[in-house]
Amino acid sequence: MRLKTVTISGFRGFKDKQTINLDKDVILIKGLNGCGKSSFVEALEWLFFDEISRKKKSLCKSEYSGSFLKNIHCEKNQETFVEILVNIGEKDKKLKRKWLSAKKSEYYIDEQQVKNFSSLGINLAEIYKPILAQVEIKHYVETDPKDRWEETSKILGLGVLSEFRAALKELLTCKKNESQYTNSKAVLYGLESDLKQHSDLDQLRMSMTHQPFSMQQFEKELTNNITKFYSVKIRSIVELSKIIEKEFQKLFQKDKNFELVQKIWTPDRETISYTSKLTKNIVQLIDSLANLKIINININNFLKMGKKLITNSTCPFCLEKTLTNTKKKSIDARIKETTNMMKLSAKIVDELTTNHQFKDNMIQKITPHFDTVTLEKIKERILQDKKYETEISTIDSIIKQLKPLKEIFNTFNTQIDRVINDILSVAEGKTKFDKTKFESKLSTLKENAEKAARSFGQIRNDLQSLLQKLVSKTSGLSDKEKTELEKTFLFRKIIDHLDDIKFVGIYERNLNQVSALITKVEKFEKAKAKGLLITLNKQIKDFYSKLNPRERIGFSEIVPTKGTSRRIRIKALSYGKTINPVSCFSESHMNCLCLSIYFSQRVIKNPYWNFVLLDDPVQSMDEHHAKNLIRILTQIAEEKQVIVLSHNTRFCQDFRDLFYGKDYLFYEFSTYSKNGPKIDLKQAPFDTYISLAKEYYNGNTEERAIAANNLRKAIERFTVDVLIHLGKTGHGKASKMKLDERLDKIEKLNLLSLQEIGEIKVVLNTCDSGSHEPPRREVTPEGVRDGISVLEKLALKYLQKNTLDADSDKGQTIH
Amino acid sequence: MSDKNLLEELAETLSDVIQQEYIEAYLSDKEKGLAEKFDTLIEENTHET
Repeated sequence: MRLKTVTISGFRGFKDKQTINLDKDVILIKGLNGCGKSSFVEALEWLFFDEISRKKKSLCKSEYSGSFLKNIHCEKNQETFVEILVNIGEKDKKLKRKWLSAKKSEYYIDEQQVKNFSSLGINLAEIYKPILAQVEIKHYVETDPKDRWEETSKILGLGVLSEFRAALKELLTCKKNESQYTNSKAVLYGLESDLKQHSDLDQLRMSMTHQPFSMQQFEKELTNNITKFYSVKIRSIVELSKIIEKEFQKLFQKDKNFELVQKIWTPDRETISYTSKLTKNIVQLIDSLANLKIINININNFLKMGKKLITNSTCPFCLEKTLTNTKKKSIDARIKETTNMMKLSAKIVDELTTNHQFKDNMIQKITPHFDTVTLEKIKERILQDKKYETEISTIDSIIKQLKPLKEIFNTFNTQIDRVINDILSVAEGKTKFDKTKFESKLSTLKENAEKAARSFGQIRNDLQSLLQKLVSKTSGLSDKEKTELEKTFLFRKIIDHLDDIKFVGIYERNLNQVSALITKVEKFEKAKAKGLLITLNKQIKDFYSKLNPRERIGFSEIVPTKGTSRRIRIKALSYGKTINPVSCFSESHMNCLCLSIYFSQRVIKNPYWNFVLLDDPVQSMDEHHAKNLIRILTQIAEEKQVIVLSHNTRFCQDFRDLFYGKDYLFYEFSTYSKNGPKIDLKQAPFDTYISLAKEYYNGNTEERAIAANNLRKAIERFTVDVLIHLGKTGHGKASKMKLDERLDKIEKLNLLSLQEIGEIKVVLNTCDSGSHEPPRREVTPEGVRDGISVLEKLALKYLQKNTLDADSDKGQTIH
Repeated sequence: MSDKNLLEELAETLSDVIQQEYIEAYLSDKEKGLAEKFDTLIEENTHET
C-alpha cells in the first residue's frame, strides 16, 4: 500500500478539511512544535490501527476518554473523518473512516460503507505497523534499563501483548480491592486462625483454603467432621446447624449459669442470622437503587432492576417472603404485555414500597431479644456473681450502642422513603430526573447502611465475646466438655459463614486464573521477542552501525535474559572490549537502537506496507547521526515511500541536500490557528507545480491565483534546473540567485534563445512579474493555460529529467 | 480493527478454555471486557449447586 493523498477534517488539530498530496516517493514535512504534525500522523494511525500511540503510551488513559479525537472547534454539523487515496496492487482505492462518537465510527471503501478494511487484505498487525510515532521513540530513549524489555518488545510490534498483560494486572488489582471480597476474606482469616487451634481440623482448614476451591469438597469435609464429632448421621448442612444447636444446649444444661448463657445465646444466634441477611439485603437494595440512576436513559434497565428486586425470594426490607409465585407471574406477564413502560415502572416501585411495610419490621426484628430491658436483666444476674464482674463493661457497651443504632435505622428509613418517592415521581413523569441530587441521596443512604452494618457487627462481636467469656468461666464443665464447646462455637461460626467461604473460594479461583494467564502471556511474549531478536540481530546491528559508523561504542547484540525474568541485555563493545551499555549508552545511542529495531522488523521485514512514516525520528540524535539516518532513508526510498516529519531545521536542510535530485515533496506546517495548520508546499518537482497549475487554472479567482503561483514556482524550478544541468552552476548557487539574476545568467550563457527567454517573461507577466508577491491583478484561465504550454514545451526540449530539486524561499498554500 | 493476530495465536497455544475466554473478552471490548468476564464467571460459579 502506497499513499497518494490524505484528507483530514475535524480531527485532532485539523478543524478545516485539508487535502495533502503525498504522491511522490519521498515526503518531508517540517513544522514547528504545535503546528499539527502529530495530528497528521495520528490521523493515519487512527484510520488503520484504531488507537493512537499517544493514548497507548499514556499512563493516564482517562485523559483520552470521550471525544478527544474530534477537533474542539468543529462546527456542530461538521464531519470528523480521515480519508486517503491509496494504491493497492496497481489499483487506486479511497479509504475513509468517519468518527461518530468515542465508540462509534464508520468505514468506507470507494464510498461504499464496509464493516472494516479487512476486505483489502492488508495486515494490521502491529508487528508490521509502518508508522513510528514520536512518543514510541521518546519512551524507548527515556526508559529505565529495567524496563527496556518492555519498550523493545513494543518497538518490535508486540505491544498488544503487554497491553493485554497490563489490562489483566489492572483487573487483578481492582478485583483484589473489591469490598465484598475483602470483607469475606477478613471473615475467612478469622476462621482460619480459629481452625489452626485444632490440629484435628487441619484437613477441614486446608479444604477451605485449597485452590482450585471446591465447595462440594469443603461441605463434604465439614459434614464428615461434624458427624464424627457428635456421632450423628446427617443428610444436609441445614441439619448440621440444628445438631450444633442441640449439642450446645445439651452441654450447657449441666452448668449452673445455663439460664444466663441461654439468654445471650438465643438472641445472639438470631442476631447473627438476621444481621448477615439484613446487611446483604441492604447492600443489594442500594446497588439496585444505584442502577436506577440510568432511569432517564434506559428504562429497560430500570425494569430489570425492579424485577430483580421483586423476584428476589425475600423482601429486601423485612426479609419476609411476601410475594407469592402467582403474584410474581402476574407481574412478569404485565412486564411483557404492557407498552407503557413508565406506568409499569411506577407499579413496580409501588409493589416494593406499599406492600412490604418495611419500616416497623426493621427495628422490631433486630431488637426484641436484647433490648435495653433484657440486657439490664442479664447485667443484674451477672452482678450477683463476682466471677463475672469484668463482663459488666461489655454489657454496658452493648446497651450504649443500641440507642444510636435505632436512630441510624430511623434515619435510614426516612431516606429510603425519600429516594423511593423520587423514583416514583420520575417514573410517573411528574418530575425530571436530577442525577446529581439522586446520586448524593444514594451515597448518604449507603453511608448509613454501612454505619448500621458496622454497629451491628460491633454488637455481635461484643455478644460473642461475652458469651465466650461466660462459657470459659463455667464451673460445671470438664476440660473435655470445654473443648467440645469451643469446637461447637467454631462449627457454628463456619456454618454461619458458608456463603463467605464459597464466595472467597470461587473468587480466588478466578483471581488465580487471571494470574496464571498473566504468567502465560509473559512467557509467550518473551518467547516471541526472543525469536524475533535472534532473527533480526544482524539487521539491527547493521542499521546501528550505519547510524554510528565511527562511534567508539559499538552495539553488538540485544537478547532477553535467561529464565523467567523479563529483562533484556544489550551487549556493546568499545575497541573490542565488552562494556556495560546501561552506564555507557547515551540517549542518542538509544534513539539509534530504537530506529534500528524499527527498520529491521517493521520496515525491512514488512511485505504488507509500501510506505514508512517517521514522526520526529532524530529527537536525541546529533547532526552526524541524523545525516546517517537520511542516508539510510535514501536507500529505503528506493523500495518504499518515505514520509518524515520533523521540527528540526538542520535535519530538514540536510534531508533536502541529501535528497537533492530525488523525486520528493517538501511541506511546511508553517503556522497554526484554530482552523488547523497552514500547510505550504515548499518544494516540489517541476511536474508537480505544473499539475497543480492545471488543477486550479479553471477555477474561481482565488483558485486561479493558486494556479498562477504554481506556474511561477514552475518557472523558478525550471530556471534553476537549466542553470544546474546546462550551465553547470552549483546547486546552492543556482537556488540562492533571484529569478531575474537567473534569467540574466541564462541569457549571458546562451542556454536558452532570446525568444524563449522572452516567452518566459511573458508567462511571468501573466502570473505577475512581481515575483514573490501574490498576483496584483486578475489572472485569466487562458493566460495560465498558455503559460503551462510554454513551460511544458521548454522542459521537454531542455530537461529530459524534469523532476530535479531546486530551492525557493517562499511556498504557497495548497488549499 | 485492533491487532488481534498475536492474541489469537496466544489463545491457540493455551489449553485452558477460561483463559481463552479472557482473551476473547478483551478483544471484544478492551475497556470493559475483562471485568465483565470476571464477574460472569463468579456469578455462574456462585449459583451452581
